[in-house]
Amino acid sequence: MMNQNEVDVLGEIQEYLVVNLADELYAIPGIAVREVMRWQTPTSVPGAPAIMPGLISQRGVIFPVIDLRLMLGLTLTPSTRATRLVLVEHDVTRMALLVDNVVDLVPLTIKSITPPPAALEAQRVRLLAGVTILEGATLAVLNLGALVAALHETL
Amino acid sequence: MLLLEIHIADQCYLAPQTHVDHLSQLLPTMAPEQDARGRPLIYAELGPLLGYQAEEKPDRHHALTVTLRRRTVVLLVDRVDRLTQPEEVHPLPALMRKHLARPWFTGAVIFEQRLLLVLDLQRIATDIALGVV
Repeated sequence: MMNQNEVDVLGEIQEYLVVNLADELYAIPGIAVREVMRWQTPTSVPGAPAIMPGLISQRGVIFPVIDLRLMLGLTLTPSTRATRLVLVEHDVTRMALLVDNVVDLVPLTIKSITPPPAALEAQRVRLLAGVTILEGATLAVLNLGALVAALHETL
Repeated sequence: MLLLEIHIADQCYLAPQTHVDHLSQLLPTMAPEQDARGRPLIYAELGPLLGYQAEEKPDRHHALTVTLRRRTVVLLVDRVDRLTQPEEVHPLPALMRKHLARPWFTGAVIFEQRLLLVLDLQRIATDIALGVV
């Protein structure tokens, strides 16, 4: 049987989907992830901003595709066999996040996530809940609430 | 709702049949210059308005006549294939809808495993008649 301390620690652990964007590692809260899909060319919507390359449907539900790399000001690379669409749902907002690669599902403790470094660009900082270290590499944790808020603002 | 299947370049769109008063296969020499009330018709290629580059002339050229209160607009498309009746027209996601350059889509349809956009031809025709595009 676990003691109270162990129960508290477990309560602080959350799962995150680790993805590659450009050459950087980002973590998406697992609780919001509904599905990971292979890349498929979305239906382009004329007049939509570049950050939204189109729409996809999955099981009868329509998702706008969001190019996270553009949101974060990262380098764009053509889609490959590793490119994935991560279907997420945050509150009532559904979206398909375009990522270069899905790495792993990892547990992180809340305490291990620290505020983003001050040196990071404001464009990125506003979308991050914080950063942590995963196997020696910096892992930036996305704040989906901030992402949705930013997408609702003028792009 | 009955929807027309409209082809522009390599894309397929749908549009409510009720938005269109007249559908014809247009030949350049047969294009009328005036509507039934004697007002000049406004002709517009829909492809370039949706961001497609004009390439080779299509085998067929269809004209969709949209009558507004004061003007009549003829929208030229590559071809119109058939009428379809999908089960449901989904609204575009709010996240995308608010960022569109023009509100020219009433929604999207999942039809024969394809996701197709539904054009608001009356809105497009109105913008053309007003000269905003």
